[in-house]
Parts: sequence; C-alpha cells; structure tokens
Amino acid sequence: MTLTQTARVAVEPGGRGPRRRGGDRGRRYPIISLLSACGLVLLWQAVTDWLHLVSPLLLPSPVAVIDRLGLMFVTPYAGSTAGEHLLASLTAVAAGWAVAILIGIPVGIALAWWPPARDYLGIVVDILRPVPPPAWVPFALLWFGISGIGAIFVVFLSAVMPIILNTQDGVRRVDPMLIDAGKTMGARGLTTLRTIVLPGAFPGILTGVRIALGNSWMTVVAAELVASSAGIGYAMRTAQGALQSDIVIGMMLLIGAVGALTSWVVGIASRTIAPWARREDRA
Amino acid sequence: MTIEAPRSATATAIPTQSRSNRDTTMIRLRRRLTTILLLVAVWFVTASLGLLSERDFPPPSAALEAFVQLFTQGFAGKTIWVQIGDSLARWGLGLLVAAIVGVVIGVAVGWSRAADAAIRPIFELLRYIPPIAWGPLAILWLGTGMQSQAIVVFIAAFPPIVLNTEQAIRQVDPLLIRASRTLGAKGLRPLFDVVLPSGVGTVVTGIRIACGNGWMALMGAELIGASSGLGYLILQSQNNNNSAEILVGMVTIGLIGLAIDSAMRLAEHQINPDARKEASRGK
Repeated sequence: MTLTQTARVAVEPGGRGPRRRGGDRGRRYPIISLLSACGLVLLWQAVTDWLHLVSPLLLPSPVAVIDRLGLMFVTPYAGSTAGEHLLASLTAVAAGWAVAILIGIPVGIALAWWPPARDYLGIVVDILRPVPPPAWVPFALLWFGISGIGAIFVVFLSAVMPIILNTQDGVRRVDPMLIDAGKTMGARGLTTLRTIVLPGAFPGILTGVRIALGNSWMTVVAAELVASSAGIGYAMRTAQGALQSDIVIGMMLLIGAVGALTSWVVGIASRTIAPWARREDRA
Repeated sequence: MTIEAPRSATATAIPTQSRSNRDTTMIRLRRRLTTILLLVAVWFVTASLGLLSERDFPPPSAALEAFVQLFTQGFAGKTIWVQIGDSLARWGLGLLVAAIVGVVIGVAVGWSRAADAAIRPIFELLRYIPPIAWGPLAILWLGTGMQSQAIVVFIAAFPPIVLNTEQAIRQVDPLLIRASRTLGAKGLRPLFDVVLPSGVGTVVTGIRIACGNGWMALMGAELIGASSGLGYLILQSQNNNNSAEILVGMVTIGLIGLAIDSAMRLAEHQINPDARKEASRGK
C-alpha cells in the first residue's frame, strides 16, 4: 500500500451504487452460504484427518489446529501463553495507535486549515507516504533493538498516515457555507474550528482512526514476525522455524479473529460516539 | 484493503484569488523547497557536528557512498538492480494471478447471486487475516523462493480486485442489460457486450489499489523470509549495522511504489477520464 493505503474508504460489499437485483444479496441463498462455509471446513478436515491426502506437517487438520490453539492458552509457547502473546501485541497496537491519534489529528487539521502548513508540512507527509510501513522495521530495529518500542514505532507510522489524510479530507469537506455563516455570526478562528469545523470533520477523522487500527494490527504482526521477543508474530515466527504448522495456522486464525473483533467493536463505538457520522462513515 | 482514496473533489477555495495562479504555484513550490532545504541542512549540520551516530542514521556523505556502491558494485555480489528485478518479478507474478482470478471471481459474484452466496462467506472468513500473516505458512509450504513471496502479494492484491470488479458489475444500469436482452442478447452475452465494457474503469481502479497493496505486502514478506529482493536487502543492511544502505533501500522502495502508483493512475485516467468525477459524485 503505497499511496492509497492511507486515505482509504471502504467499498463496502453491496454498499452504494444502484443495486441490480434487490436488497440483501446473499441472504437470499442462506443455504448456499451455510453450505459453502461449512463445506470449506469439512473439506479441510476431509483431506487431512479422514483421507490423509495431505501431510499433517504441511496442513494439520482443523481439529488439531483448534486443539493446539486451546493448549497454547494454558501452556506457554515461546516463552508465554497465547494470552500473553496477544497482550503483548495488543499493547504495541494500542500505544502506537494512541500516539498516532494524538499527533495525526492536529497535523491533519493544520494541513487543511492553515494554507502554509499544506506546503511546509505537507511535503514531509508526501515524502514519507510512499514508504510501506514494514520497510521501517530495519531502522526500528537499529534504533530500538527488539524491545517493544520498535514495534510501537512502526505501528505509529502505519497508523498516523491514514489519520492525517482522512482528517485533512474531513476538514476540507466541511461546507464552506457553514463556516461563512459562523463568521457572519461573529465566530473567529478557533471558535470556528471548535464549533463548526471539528464536528463537521468528525466522520472523516473517525474513518481515519478506524483504518489506522486495521493498519496497526497488520503492521504489528509484520514487525513481530521480523524480530521481537514476544507477541503473536513472534510465536508464529518461532513455530515456522520449528516447522509446527498447526501453531502457525492457529496464530493466523487468532490474528483474524482479533482483527474482526476489534473492527466490529470500533465500528459500534464510532456509531455510538457520532451517530450523525453513520452515513459518511460508510462512504 | 478494498479501498479508494477520497480525493477531495473541491479543495478549499482559497479566498485570495487576486494573485494569478502561477504566483500561487510559485509560492507553494518555494514553501515546499524551504522545508526540504531545511531538513537537508539539519541533516548536514547534525552529521558534521557529530550529533548523529553513523550507526543510527548515515551522514550525507555515507548515504551518497552507499548509493553509488549499491547501484554499481552491489551488495553480496548482486547490484541493487538485481534485487529490484527479483522484487518486481515476485510482485508481478502475484499481481498477475490476482488480476486473473480476481476479475473472474468478481464477475461471478457481481453477476450471479448464487455465486455471491457461495463465495462471500469464505471471503469474509479470510479477510481479517493480514496478507503478511500468510508469510510463515507460505514459507513452510514452498520454502523461501519466489512462489511463497508471490502468494503474499496475491493475497494482498486479490480483495480490492474482486470488490471493485463486483462493484463495476453492479453499477451497470439494469436498463442497459434489459435493452440488450430486448435486442436479442441471450444468456451471458449482455455480460460481455454491455457490462464488462462499461465497468473497465472501476476494475482498473481495483488493480491500481492492488498494485500498492501488493508492493507493501511484498516488502513485509521479504523481511520475513527471502534470499533476495529489496526487503531482504534492507534487513541484511540492518544486520550489518549499515544505516546508509537501509536508507538507500528504503528510498528505492518508496520511489518504486510511487512510480507504480503514478503509472497506474495514468492508465486509469486514460481508460476512464471521468473516473475521478464519478467517484466524487458517488460520495
């Protein structure tokens, strides 16, 4: 994700645009959907445990993977239990994401609100933007070693760009009429910013914050896979070295589940915090 | 992953239009140059005062030396051109497969409700696993060669192509399809004669996003397990504590990403000059 990584807006499945064939597609064929999802898991189970078509070294059965994953929550693997690895990764995500929010929102507002900043500061953003976050990992290792700070640094870099760009975009989208109306009624600089621009830009800011969280989760895994001493990625890396594909796949499932869960929670949270942002939020 | 950059259609109107546009451009350029010169000056000064440890960040002279070294003599027997070639080959392979499979699946999902019902659940199950997290499994299955890197590119590039193709198909005015049926088109003919030609622009947008996603994922994958490529180069430079080579590698990665994105935007514009207008109308 070079350029577009940053200000992304989801093309939600079946979202906008005229729909050719009626409402909730897919819901019309619930049986096919169910069969397809179950079929995939059954096929996996069939080629492994039942028919032994694939070596368990390459692809262990789903039952074995789930078994192993459950065990990892009890017995430590690579120094920690799965819960502790998860906590380490989530801590890095939370820290990097939080710093990105604290820095990204003001920078985004400045870029959109104060024309000189668009050039003086914007050029720095333009220079840093095309560098994929994982490419920062070597410098992070050089500067911070394999301590957790390196991971936080890389997470921060992956999270701050979408926040800056979406905040900037959100501020620019505020209806100039509203700003003029505010000025007519006597609002000055900061008052306009606080009472008109910020609420108006809120949907954009939320979008940025949400994309940033997804990026953070992806980046922390990448950083931990390269070099770390704890975290989900570290457990995965260790398992790959030991040819334990059941653990590798178990960690992938865990990463996917946590990613889905966080995106769901943040979706609900943003709808609760800013219900008026709902429509924009999807766009 | 699925996603398009909100390019704000109307940048905030700057009230001072009294000056000519050319003057404004000059001012903006001067501001940008100021920042760049300032950063370069800071770089030179901190380096010459010895405030910058060469282990952490290279002085300009070392960076220049590494640049010349990498592009002429190379690193571990290979010039950087070879590493670039290796990276681009993996990227191209993954992207090619993703484009073919992605367009086919996108068309199926967009055209047939049954296909949508069958494929959607699998897509949803897998979409929260970041591409990079497939790296270790790919290495277990295929070793550290070209294919395992290309698989990560494929996984990163696949979703935007599927979703945009699906979108392209759904956007088509149903009246056009009915008109072609009235005129005698049977079976799948409206798909090839009406739907696909009108959706090419949206598909190309998906491919452009996929290009960026794939490049970023590849840089992560090459850090995890590869024996050549730009990601491998910067990680090896980190192992050798050679910050100058990391810097040159990162700049190269960023520039290639930028070049890919610019080329794709150009292609997009050629194919569908109205794309940007339409996108902003869609919001």
